[in-house]
Amino acid sequence: MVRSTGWLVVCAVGLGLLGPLVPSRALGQAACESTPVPLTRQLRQLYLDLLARPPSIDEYRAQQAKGRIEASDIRELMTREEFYTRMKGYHRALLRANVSASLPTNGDTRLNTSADGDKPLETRGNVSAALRGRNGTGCDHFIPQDDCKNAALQQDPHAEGPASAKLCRDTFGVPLPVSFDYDTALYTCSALTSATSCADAVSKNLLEPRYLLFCDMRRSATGLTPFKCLPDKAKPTTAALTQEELDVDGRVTAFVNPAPAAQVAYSRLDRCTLALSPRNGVIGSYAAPRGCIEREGWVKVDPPFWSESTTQVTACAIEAQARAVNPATQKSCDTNNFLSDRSCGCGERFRRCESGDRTVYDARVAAISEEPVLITDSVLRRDEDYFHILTTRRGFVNGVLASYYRQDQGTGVLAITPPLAREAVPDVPFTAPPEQWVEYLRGENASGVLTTPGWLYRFPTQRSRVSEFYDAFLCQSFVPPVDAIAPDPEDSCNRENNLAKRCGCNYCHAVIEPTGAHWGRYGERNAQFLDAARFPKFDAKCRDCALAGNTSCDGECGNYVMQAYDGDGANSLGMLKSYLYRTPSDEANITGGPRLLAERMLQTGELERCTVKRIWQELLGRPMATQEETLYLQALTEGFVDTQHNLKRLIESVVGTDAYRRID
Amino acid sequence: MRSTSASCLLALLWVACSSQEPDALPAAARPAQLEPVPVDHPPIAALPDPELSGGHVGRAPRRLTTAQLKASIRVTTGRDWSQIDNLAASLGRADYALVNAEATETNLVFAKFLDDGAREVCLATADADLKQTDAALRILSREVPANLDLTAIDESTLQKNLTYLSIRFWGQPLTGDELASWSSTFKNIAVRAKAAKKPREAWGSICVALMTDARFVTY
Repeated sequence: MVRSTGWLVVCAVGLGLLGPLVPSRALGQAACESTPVPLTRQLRQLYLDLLARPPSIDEYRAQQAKGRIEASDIRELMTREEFYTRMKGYHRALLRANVSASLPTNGDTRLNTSADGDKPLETRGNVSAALRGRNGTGCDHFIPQDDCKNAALQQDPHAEGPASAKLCRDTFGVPLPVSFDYDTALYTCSALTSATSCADAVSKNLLEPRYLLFCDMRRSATGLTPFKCLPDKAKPTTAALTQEELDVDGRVTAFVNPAPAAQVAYSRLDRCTLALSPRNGVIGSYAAPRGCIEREGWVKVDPPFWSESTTQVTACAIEAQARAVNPATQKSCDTNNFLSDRSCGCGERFRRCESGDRTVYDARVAAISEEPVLITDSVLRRDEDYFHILTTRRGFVNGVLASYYRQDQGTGVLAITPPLAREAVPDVPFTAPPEQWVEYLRGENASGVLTTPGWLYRFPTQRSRVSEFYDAFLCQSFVPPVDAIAPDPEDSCNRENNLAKRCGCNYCHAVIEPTGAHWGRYGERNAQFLDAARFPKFDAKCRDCALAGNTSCDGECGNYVMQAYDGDGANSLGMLKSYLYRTPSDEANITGGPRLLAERMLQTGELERCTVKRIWQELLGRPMATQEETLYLQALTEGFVDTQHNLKRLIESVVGTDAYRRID
Repeated sequence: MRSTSASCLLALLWVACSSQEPDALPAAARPAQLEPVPVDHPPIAALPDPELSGGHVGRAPRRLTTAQLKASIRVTTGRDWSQIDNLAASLGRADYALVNAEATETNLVFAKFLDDGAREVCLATADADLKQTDAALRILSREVPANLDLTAIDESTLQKNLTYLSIRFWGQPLTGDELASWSSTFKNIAVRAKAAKKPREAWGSICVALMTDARFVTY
């Protein structure tokens, strides 16, 4: 009682309202009972906190007429759409739901158009070097691929031979070049402007006859112009190519280095033709000869998936292909390397590629960022247990995500395991309005926001996922204790590879590492679910590769331990990386996934206490002070538990506290 | 005044902390007592000691977030500030990709941009009001008769309109000396606006003043 009276006195001093002689009843009522801010001001505060806007003048007047704000008024506010929008903002901040700086962006898969010719869709990124001989090079915009034998369309008839002998496609139907140019990175090309063709240039003595095969027709704004191209004498790599090799007609067919040194990059440059040679001798793979840019033509195909048009579009013949595998090597086209494989293409309706203006990429970023926020919104709208946001299997797709999952889009850019079998994902067309979301039930492994691509990409490693979980839902951060002792640099424990044991690191990592195992079946820096059926705990093939020194195992064992740095590592070769250094009890975390983590944390009560603290901070604009925790935390937490973790009731309780109704 | 407060404080502390039994003292020397709260008294929600709570016992007043500011401008003036989305990052909006926390500092950058925004929306609103003959549909001069000479508004009407505006913008009515001061300010502006033949600047200026006031940008 004495303590209680002391509180009251301090309250009076704090408010500067009363002297020491005021009777206790008056003191209690005037100073330490709630002294609410004026009605209109309190209304403004509530509206701004709950609806993110002030009341309108009509709403002020209606409340003034009523004379007070009742619990039913607050509950009514929390039924409005503006409240849900406001809470989406709260959860967006809590989950840091924006993957725009986290998703890989690969411009190589973007299809651009140019202003000339038939304006085909084409990739012009780094992979063009593998397809056409030089970075940034598209196809021939003027020659239809399957009309390559049309003599009228031949670009370099003097070097290509008879049009009728040209091959538009190989035996598998893979498009072959229809025109070539010498690469100005290795050649110096000078225009022969007075001539109409290379043969004409020879007849007009503008071009020595022996260089006829080193003449190519180049496109400009005025049409085709002959150019004489000779190895660049200003570059050390090509200046040494001084010797000319002639054919039987006395025409130069190659420039050769007469005395090639070991360090010289090129010993010869052959004339360009339309022929391709197998890359590294592998049949089914193609490489353009050095110094030659070899372009395929264009074709008409169905419009890309991001287009609402039904009219066919022009596209480069390579990109327009839709093969699942390379027909010669049987290598999958649904890998990162599809663009450098001449036989793959962008797939049906260009599913593997994107629009050149980034709209597809930006739409994916927005959709992936939004899904976790929608999950929290759905829990709130249904007045469900708030912690369903961590465990529910409910998911959402809009047209962008649905078509991504169903059509296996985004190859080489995004790596997201569909939450269900592809055909079971709701069918929403890509062109549907982006705000049109469809709810569905994700697979067994799904666990609220914690397994969404938005969360997995935003927090790309197991450690960052743990850190964010502790920060957002347990209000804890990983910092060493104040009395932590950094080990001596010479201490042998610094060489411990297991951070959960390494001295100094173990202050935090003894918790982080086993907790991170809850995401052990999710890839790092991607959003792939490593299903046990496809990614078993131990893979003998990977172990054998590791023992044979093939640490990549031809790209098939990226998720497995392939190198050992200590005894534990040696014993774990061929194991899924998540199992390295894990104890048998940790392995249950891998199996249980993020849902097990959420369920365990619920048992500790920390999730509830943290949620109360976060809502308090959101509404009062400052963290709960230590003494306030004594006064409010337990009661608010118990109320939150009693209402089955109903977030709206918690908000109602917080805005009903005396602290909320004061401003200081 | 300060010494009186200090005396009161000392007396209070003495009462709160003294271990001496007050009844043992002579009645004349006995200080006023704080009697125990009776059993039938309604429960008292104790507030924390501000000194142990970072100086707070209630909400921390804070600046509107960018989203709240945008909505507040729309609700109070009926129109949007056209540049707010372009300036959102400078006004403190977090993107949660690279900037993880909304900044709500009331710094000079915020003040400068808000001043620009207030001019834009307030003058446009005042313009629209001048063309609106139905008083109920006007935003800034709802309580003022239409087509009335700005300098001829009577004090009562003027104060009524200013009170309406202060509730609309701040949720707090202007009263007393402050109301008189705002009324006087309006009269001065109205004379100048009339002389300059820019009637929109009369209520427009009041709107700018209301919108750049701390009571608008904080809550």
